[in-house]
Amino acid sequence: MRLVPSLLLAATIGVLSSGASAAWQSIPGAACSPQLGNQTTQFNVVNDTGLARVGANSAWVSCPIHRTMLVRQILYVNLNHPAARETACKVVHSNYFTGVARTMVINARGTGNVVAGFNTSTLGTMEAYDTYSVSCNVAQGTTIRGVSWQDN
Amino acid sequence: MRIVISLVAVLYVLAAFYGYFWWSDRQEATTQTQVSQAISTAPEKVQTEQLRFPNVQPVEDSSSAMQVQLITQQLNSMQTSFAAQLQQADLKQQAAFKNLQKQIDDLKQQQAQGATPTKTTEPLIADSQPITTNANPPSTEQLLEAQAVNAKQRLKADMSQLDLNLQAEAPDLARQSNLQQKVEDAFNQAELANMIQGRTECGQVFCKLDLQGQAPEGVDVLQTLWEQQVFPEATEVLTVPKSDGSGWVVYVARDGQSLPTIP
Repeated sequence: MRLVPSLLLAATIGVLSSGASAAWQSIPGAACSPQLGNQTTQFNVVNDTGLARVGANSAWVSCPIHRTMLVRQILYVNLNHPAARETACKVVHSNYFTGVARTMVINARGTGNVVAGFNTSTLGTMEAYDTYSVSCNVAQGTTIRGVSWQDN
Repeated sequence: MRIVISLVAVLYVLAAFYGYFWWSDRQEATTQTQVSQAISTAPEKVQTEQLRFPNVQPVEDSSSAMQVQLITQQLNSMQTSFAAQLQQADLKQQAAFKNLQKQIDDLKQQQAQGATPTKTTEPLIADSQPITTNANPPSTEQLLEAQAVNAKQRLKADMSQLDLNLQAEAPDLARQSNLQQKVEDAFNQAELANMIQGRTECGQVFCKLDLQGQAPEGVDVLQTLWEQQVFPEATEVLTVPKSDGSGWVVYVARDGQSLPTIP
């Protein structure tokens, strides 16, 4: 009779431990900021969750990824398009020892909530001192809702 | 009559023996009491215990408060030095772990590329030497410096390989001209044309852009190129700063393609 509860407990621990290994990190779009300082007034923060472009044309917006949070697998940038359009987003992996920056660009296309997904393994393995950054070329009306990434 | 006299004589003899034994026991008990009194009244000599810690100095016999304070100070200093040693060991262990992790990642990447064994063993041996063969483990700074030297050597070799690939391919003159024009227009637009010159070479798989010059402080040349939409969309770009700080080498993949993988 004691075998069944023991097996159930072991299965629960196994499920919980496998779930814990898939760690996701995220930052809201409100944490992003324009790369040119004089464009600060051309963006609005939307309810602490997003950063909306209110100025004309387009501008590059950078979303910080904390150095200690390793980026290992998938990285998503979540955007909102007011109409059918595409937004170019780039992910930069900078090597601490050499200064080499490897950049990958992906376009998020469509209307409404759209996602640009990056398989960061093609940018090389992230080491402890390396840095990652995400930035998007945001046109008027587009909102950056957030960035999320898998860190194991 | 004779029997009575014999009995009386025996009784006298018994009484004499009993008296002798009683006197003998009493004398022995008195001697033991005197000896134990002599031992107990001897002055007590206290031996101070030798501490096992070599750094602890014997405390002068002044006052108990002073002694407690001195011992506390010595214990605190020992605790601090021990914690520092632990922290240093921890740092060394972390550096060694990072180095090992890097070697494993390098091996995986090279294995994925199907690299030759001779190429993989050289940096591995160079990486592992500071950890395994040195009697005194190197400091974290030394480990990082060694890793940086190895990474730069690998980068130099990889860039040479990319350049060889570029030279081996047939040049894509149309793309080369287009990219060269975009770069010049971007620098003109950003008013950097007098400071930075760009030279473009394109093959069938990727282009190489050699940027020479210095930008004013606060101007990000590479971001300027992105903002002027020099690089085609949906592509991959590798930016390598020149070792003498005189510019950058930029490799740009063909539209929709990836650059040849380098570690």
